[in-house]
Amino acid sequence: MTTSNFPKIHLGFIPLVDSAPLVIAAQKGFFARNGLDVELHKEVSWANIRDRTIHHHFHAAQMLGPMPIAASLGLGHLKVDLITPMALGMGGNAVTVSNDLLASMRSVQKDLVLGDPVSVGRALAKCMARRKQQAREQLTFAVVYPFSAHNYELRYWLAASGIRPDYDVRFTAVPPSQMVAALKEGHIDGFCVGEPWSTLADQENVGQAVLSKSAIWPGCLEKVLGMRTDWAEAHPDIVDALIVSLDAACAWCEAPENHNELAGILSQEEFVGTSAEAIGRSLSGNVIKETSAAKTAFMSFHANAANIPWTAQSLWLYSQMVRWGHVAHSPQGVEVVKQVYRPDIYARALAASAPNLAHQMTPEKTDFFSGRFYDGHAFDPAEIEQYLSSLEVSAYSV
Amino acid sequence: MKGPASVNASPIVVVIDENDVRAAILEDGLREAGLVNVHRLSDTTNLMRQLVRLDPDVIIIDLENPSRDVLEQMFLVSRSVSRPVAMFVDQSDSERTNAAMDAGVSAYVVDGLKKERIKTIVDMAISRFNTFSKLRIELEEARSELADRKVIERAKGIMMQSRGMSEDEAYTLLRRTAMTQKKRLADIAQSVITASELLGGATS
Repeated sequence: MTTSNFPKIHLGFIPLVDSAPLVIAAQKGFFARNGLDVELHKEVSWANIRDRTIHHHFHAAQMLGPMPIAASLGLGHLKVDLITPMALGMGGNAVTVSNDLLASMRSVQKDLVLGDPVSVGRALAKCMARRKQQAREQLTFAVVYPFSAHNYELRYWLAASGIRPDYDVRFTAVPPSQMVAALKEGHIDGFCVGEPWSTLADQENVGQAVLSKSAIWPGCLEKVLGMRTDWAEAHPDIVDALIVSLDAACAWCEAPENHNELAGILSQEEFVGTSAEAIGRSLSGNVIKETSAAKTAFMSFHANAANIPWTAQSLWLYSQMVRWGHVAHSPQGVEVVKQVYRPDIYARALAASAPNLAHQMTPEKTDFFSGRFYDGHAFDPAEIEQYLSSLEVSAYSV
Repeated sequence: MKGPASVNASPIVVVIDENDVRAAILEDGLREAGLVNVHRLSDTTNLMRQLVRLDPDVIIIDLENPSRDVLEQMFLVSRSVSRPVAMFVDQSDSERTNAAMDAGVSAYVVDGLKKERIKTIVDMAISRFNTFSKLRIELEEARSELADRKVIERAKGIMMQSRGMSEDEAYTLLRRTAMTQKKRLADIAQSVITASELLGGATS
C-alpha cells in the first residue's frame, strides 16, 4: 500500500448491479493500493448524483452514459462541463413486459423468440395495432431517467419496430426500486432498466425480460465515471489513480470466478441491498429466459474494451438526443460533445500497464468500436446528419 | 406556458415530501409568507397525473425522494405540464443552491415567476428544512438523555441494594469512577448493570 497526499475522495453511486466497479474498488482495496482514500455515497436519484457532482459534494460519480453530455450541453439544468475519462461497463439493461402484455404478444405471434429484437419488436407492434383497432389506451413504458442509454435504446428499438415513441406508446419515469410494484399495479406495461430489476420482476412473477440492451447494440456502453472538467484538469494524478483502480476493479468484476463473492458484497444493505441470488443471476447473464442460443454477453464490466469511453459513443448518444428532440442539432453542440468522452485520459492513466492503448484508440484503428445495430443501420460518427436522416422515425417525423 | 395572470396571483406551490412533520412545518412557513396555494403530495404514485391536475409554478421536493428523476423526465418530455426547470439555472446563485443541498431540499420553478418570489419560497424551504433537522437532533438528544437517566437510576438501585449505600453515595461513586476512567456516567452505570446481571445479582 502506498501512502499519498491525496485528499479524501468522495464518489457517488446508485444501487444497481453495475455500481460493482466502485463498490469493489473500495471493498477489495483497489483504491487503497493506488493511494486513494475513498468514501462511497449511495444516492437515491440521478438528479442528486448530477447536482452533488456539479456542486463539489462528490469529486466524481457513477453516471448514466448521456449525463455528462447533457450537463455539458446545459440540458435540464445549468450548463457545467463534465468529462468521462472511463466507462464502467457495457450492457446490463433489459426490456421487461408485464405478464399480460407477454401473453398478448404470444397470442399475436406464435413463434415469438424472446431475446430476438426483430421477433419481439414485431409482436409488440402487432399488439399495439390491435389495441388501436379496439380503441384501447396506449401502452405505457417506463424508464428511470431521460438522459440514459436505456431510454435511447428502448426508443431506438421501438422505432426500428415501427412503433413511434411518445405517440404509439407513452413514456414515463419510475424510480428503479418502484419499477416492479408499478408493473404489478398495472401503472406501466413494461420498462427498460438496469439490473437487478428485470430479474426481480421475474422472481416475483410480475413480468418477464424479453430483450437485452446488448441485443439492440452490442457496442453500447452503459454507466460511466463522470466528473467536473475543471476538477479533472486540476488533479490529473488523482484522476489517473481513480482510473487505474477502477480498471482493475472492472477486470475483477468481469471474472466469473468472482461472481459469487461479488453478488454477496452487492447484496449488502449499504450497496444494492437486494438478494444475492437475484444479483448472481444478473451477473450470470441469465436474465432472459428461453433466449435464442447465439447471444452477445448480457453485461461486460471489462471485456470487449468495455472501459474505453469512445468519442463515437458520445456522438451516438448525442444523435439520439437530437432525434428525440432533447437538443437541437448544431456544429457547436457537436464540438462540445467531442470534449466530454476522453479516451486520451483513459490511455494516459493506463500508459504504464498498456502502452499500446493510445495507438489503438486513434480514429483509424477503432477495431474495438462497433457502430452496427441489429436492424442493419450503422452509425458513422463523421456523418451524424446523414445518419439522422436515414432513420425513419424521430420526434420530427411524427 | 402559463399566462401572465399567474405572475401576480399567488403562485401554486407543490411540496413533495414523505415526512409528515417536515412537510407540515414547511407548509406553515409558506402560508405565513402569504402563499395561499400550497399543496402537499405524500403519495408519489402517478405523480404526473397529480401534477398535471395541480399545474404548479414551484415544486419543492426533498433530496431523499427518488421521484426527483421522475420530475426531470416529466419536464423534459411532457407536453401537458408547463416545463419547470431546476432552481437557479442562473449560475451566480450557487450559494443558495448549496444551502438548499445542505438542507436536503430541491426546487423546480416554472419560467416567468418573479425572481424575488422564487427566492422567498426557496429560502423558506431551506430554513424550514434546517429547522426540522435541528428539531430532530434535539429530539434524539432528549431521547438519549432520558435513556441515560434510566440507566443511572437502575445502577444506583443495584448499588444501594447490594452495598447498602445511600442514593447520594451511589451517585457520587458512579460519577467519581466515570471521571477517573474518563468515561460517560451512563456508560459506567451500564457496566454496573451488566456486571450485576452476569453475577446473577439484583436487576431492579
